[in-house]
Amino acid sequence: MVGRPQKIRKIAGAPSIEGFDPKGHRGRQCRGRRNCRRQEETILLLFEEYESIRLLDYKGLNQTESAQEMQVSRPTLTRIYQRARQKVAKAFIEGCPISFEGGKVNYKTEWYQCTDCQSIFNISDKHQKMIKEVTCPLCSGNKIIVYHEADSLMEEEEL
Amino acid sequence: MKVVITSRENNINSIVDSRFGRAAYFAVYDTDSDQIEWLGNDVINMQHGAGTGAVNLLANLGAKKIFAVAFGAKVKPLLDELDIQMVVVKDSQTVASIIELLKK
Repeated sequence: MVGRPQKIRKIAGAPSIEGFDPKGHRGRQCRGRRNCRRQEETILLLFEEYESIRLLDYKGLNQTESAQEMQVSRPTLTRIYQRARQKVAKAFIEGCPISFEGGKVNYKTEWYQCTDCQSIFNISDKHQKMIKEVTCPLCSGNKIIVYHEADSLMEEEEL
Repeated sequence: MKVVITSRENNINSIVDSRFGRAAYFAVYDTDSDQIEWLGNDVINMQHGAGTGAVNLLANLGAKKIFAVAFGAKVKPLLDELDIQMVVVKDSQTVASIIELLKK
């Protein structure tokens, strides 16, 4: 029996940095030397795991709210978060570098349709917070409706 | 700001190309200087990854918005990540009519 496919996790955006390197004697030594055991032990923190830490610990949301943000169930969010903490703990204790990458994610973006020129467009979560009113990027009209079939536009894709 | 419109031919009266990655030409319109630059699409004949190739090309130009009739599934997350806005326009419009609307 094949397991059910993973739900796509929505994240607000990719982290602004690629990862972390350990500091200090052991860390430096590791980066310099070839075939170093530690180098191979770079911990891959998935984007969804990064996002769970951002929502829960940085923004201080509770797990139910965070799960809604990422559009997964609450238990799934808990598992993602648990993995995230395990990985971060391992990196801290064993002095491994962390690299942010991968995961089954889509960026959070809202789709709209202009009723004047019929064009459909998206506005990312980041921009949404900066603008007061949604206007059409084509005709600058302000008769905008939320486009609901956006999920059919956004086909499932693994990053 | 630079915006990109897909085009079937390299003149302003051409109809927008219905595909993004395999569009024949890209019209790069600079809204500040009112200049249009025409770009031939070199990735058009690629068997795979025409969309991602086109995204690379246009992202390097510093495009902020892309007008096309359709975007592929691989292109959307990429453009989201690069913070480029996607605008799905109606089929059979001309490049000139889109630029006209933009100027308003």
